[in-house]
Amino acid sequence: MITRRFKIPCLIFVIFTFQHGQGVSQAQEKSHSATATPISAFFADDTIAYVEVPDPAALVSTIVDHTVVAAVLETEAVKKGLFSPQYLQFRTGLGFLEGQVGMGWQELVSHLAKNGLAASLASDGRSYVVIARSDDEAILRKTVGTILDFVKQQAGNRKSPFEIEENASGKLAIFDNLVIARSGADLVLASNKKQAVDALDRLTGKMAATSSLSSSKLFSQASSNSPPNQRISAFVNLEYLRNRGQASQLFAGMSENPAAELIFGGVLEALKDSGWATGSISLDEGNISLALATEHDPKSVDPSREYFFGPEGNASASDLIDADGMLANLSAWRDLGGWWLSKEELFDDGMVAQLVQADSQLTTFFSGLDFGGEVLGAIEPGVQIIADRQEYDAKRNPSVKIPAFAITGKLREPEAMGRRFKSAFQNLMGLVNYGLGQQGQPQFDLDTANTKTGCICSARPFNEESAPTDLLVFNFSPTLVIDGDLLVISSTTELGEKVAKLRVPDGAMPSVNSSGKVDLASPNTLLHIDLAAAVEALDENREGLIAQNMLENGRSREDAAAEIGSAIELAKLLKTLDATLGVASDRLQFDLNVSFAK
Amino acid sequence: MKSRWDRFKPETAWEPWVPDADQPWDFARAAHLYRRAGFGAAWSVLSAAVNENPGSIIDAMFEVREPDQSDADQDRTADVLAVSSNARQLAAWWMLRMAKTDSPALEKATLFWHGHFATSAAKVEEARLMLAQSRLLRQHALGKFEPMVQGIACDPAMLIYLDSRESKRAKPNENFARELMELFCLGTGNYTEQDIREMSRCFTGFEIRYGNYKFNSFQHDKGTKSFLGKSGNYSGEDAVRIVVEHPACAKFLVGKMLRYYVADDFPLDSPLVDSLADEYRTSGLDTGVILRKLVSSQVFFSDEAIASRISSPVEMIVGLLRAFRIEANMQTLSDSVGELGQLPYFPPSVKGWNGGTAWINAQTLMGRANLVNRLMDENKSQFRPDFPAFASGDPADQVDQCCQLLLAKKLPEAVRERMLATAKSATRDSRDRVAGIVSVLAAMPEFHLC
Repeated sequence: MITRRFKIPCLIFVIFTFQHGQGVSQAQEKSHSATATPISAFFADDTIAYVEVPDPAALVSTIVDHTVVAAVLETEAVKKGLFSPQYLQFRTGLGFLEGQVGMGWQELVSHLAKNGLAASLASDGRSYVVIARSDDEAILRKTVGTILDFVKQQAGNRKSPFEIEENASGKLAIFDNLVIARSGADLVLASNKKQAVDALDRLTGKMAATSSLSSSKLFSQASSNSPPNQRISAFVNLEYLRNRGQASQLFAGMSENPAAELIFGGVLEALKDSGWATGSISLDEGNISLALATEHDPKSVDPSREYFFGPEGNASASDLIDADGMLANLSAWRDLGGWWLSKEELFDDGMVAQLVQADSQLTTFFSGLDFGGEVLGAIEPGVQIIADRQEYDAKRNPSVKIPAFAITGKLREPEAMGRRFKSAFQNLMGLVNYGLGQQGQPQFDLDTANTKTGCICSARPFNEESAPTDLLVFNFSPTLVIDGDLLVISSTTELGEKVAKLRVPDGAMPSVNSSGKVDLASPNTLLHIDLAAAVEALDENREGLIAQNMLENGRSREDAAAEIGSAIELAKLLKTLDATLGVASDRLQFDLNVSFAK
Repeated sequence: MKSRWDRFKPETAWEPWVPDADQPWDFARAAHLYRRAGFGAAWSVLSAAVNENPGSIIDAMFEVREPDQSDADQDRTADVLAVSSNARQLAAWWMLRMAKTDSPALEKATLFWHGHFATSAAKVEEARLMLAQSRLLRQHALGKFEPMVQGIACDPAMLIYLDSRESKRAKPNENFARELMELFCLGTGNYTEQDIREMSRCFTGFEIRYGNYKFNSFQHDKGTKSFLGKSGNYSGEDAVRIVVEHPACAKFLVGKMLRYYVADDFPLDSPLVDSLADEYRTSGLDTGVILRKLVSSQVFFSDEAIASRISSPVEMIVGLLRAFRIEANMQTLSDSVGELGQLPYFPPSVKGWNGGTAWINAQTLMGRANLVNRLMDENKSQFRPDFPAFASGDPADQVDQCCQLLLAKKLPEAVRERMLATAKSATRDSRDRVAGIVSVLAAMPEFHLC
């Protein structure tokens, strides 16, 4: 509902920018230049969601001139869309308007929102206000006048109510569920008259600035330490939403899924008490970045989430392993033993029952050791997950190619626990072989090599001449590497050995700071994905993607192949993805950066 | 007992039909041919067919061509789906193949044999084995019958489905021998329990390794077996040959084909069955030859045959996709077709789908109409019908041409008038109107006949 309501003013704004300005370029009536007052000062203090575009002209220019956008426009799918009747109609109208205005639409946008563009959603969850601050009152006046003529005619045709009102703050046009108002060089679009009048009163100084959004405590707190050079920024009043009982699952602090808890548990912990959330987007020729933050006090973390943040609330993940050419690396500070042992506090009764059952089954693999406390507890907090592409050959060439992946950590008691892990690995592979044998599938050939500092236990699928070579099983050669206190569990022997070899003599993993990594005091989780390698991995599975596309869209192989081909070509424009989740002084912050291939 | 087929003489019934003034080769009969031999066709195809000779169209339909690049592409796609997923996805893929294929007669015949040698992925579980069986059926669907049965006898999916891989010398499993005679080749009354026990010894030692058939000679019974009046140290291959050579085999199969291609209630004791069975036997049980004869015949094009079958859920939906050139989510669609009782690769039992009136009950009739309604409503942007009235937008022509495309039987004039009135008043958008017309048609009994 909110989205639909926002569509109308956005559309009107776009029409404004495209339709008007004819003949005004000569006789400019310059209005106020950008003032020191932030645009947020003209919005109500009970705003629950707020979006600001500080420099719309720059944003439009960056998007229009971006090489990625140019490449997207060159794709067959988009080209086809450019010939759709709707787009051609739009293009015709736009061309006409550009001719009328005497300037291109980009230039018009740069005038109409030169001093900022922002929108808010009021506390009733329905009312909205959009404010655009122009640098040229004459252009705005002409634009509004013309658009009102058009709207009036439309309203007349549809027999909808339409009225013009003028008060001390400005002129208002009221129809349907939209109010258009202008005051000097400022344009206001609102869902109702009260919102529009309030905005005009703030813009003209009739309403005290002390009751505005910019003066509210939550907004001020949220806005401090905002990232520089943001193209779009947003604010959400979580306190208000929580008090209204909205999105209750988000604020419950509990997850229903153990894996999701392991990844996002800290975010749920922060949202439980947070008063606000902010977001911002930055874009330049080389990168697009997203920064999300929410209020968080590291000192008040619930004991059940110490597994996520550490006892002090600010534990840091190790730097990412320097694994050149690998598909993806993830490093996270997580106390797996603590996570498992806190299950009663983290999950509902049904999930706890399932985990207890899993606990007893897993305990048998480890010869009676308690899985949570003694097995997971034997791994020091902090794990890394690595994914890598695989090489295949004629005898081992699965139809669906799954990247290799490995998880690595440090053992607290390497000698004792190393033996336990080795024994559990052999037990598990024995069970897997039993199942495969029953199905007449190739089984795994187990091998153990002892080294000076540990062992390598591997299991490779036994490939007889008569067996097909394209089975899924040929993606796997499960491997366990114990090297001193290093534990590596890998889906393939090659990756397991590769990760183990990366270890330098002092026992630490060599690290690298990826280009997009945001500098946080306590980065709790780090992720780096080589998107170019990921696209190659996708390309290796092109047949599977085509097949899925055919089924989902009911189309021919040729059409599906063309669409997947375009998507892969587009994906090749991406280079890397870096993400960081971490704790700053008063917030939990998530930063994401995607870099583009040059 | 008298039947409507009695007017045909066995000696001439299967002679090629010759159009005349009473029964001309027109749009309706072309649609009948494409619906029955395949899954229906778009307007442009049927219009073009009217200008050709039915015989040459049938020849082209049943022409067995060498596999080409498009077959290789289809195989590659199916392989990927079979390795990575379950047979439900494979069912969706097969329905898509039926909707898009240039050889609809081959797919229709493959679906027939799939129902005949019914094997369910619910028990087999491995999609790649189901795919392999499907390929075997497609390979022989329009060829000789015996090689197909020989393949089925050692097909891994069938070995699993009928527990034949557990058939050992010391303890033969009788399932396959029983079904070979009862359901696949002879029908009841043409064998004894003793025949089953003896023949089952021929199929001992049939095993599976890495998804492939493997003969274990140590588990094979090498003794003398006596069945169907013959005696010897027969292998499984010998047993299949003996059964296929049995006089009852041709008649049994022809009876099933007639109910699949001509009429749900075709009397199996009719002399017409015997005369066509003789032809089948003479051809060496060449299915392509006999099907070509069947769909060219006076019986096939007779008024008695038209609209005398209830379309199966797969026929109904694939027919709609082809007629209106619709592109839709096949996974959702095949799941829905499964709910109506016919998910490919998942026949309900070794007897296959009962067909005929079994497709229709109060629940499925409503389900069928709802599915058509949903399909048309959700895929308005994805259908590109090529009948002239779709472009011209004339409501009366749209009603008539939709009926011509989709109905085997004419609508009563009063019903047509009511439909036209509704179509005229409902909407000005051609797509919406056509979608509405099809949805209304789907609620009528005539829509479910083919």
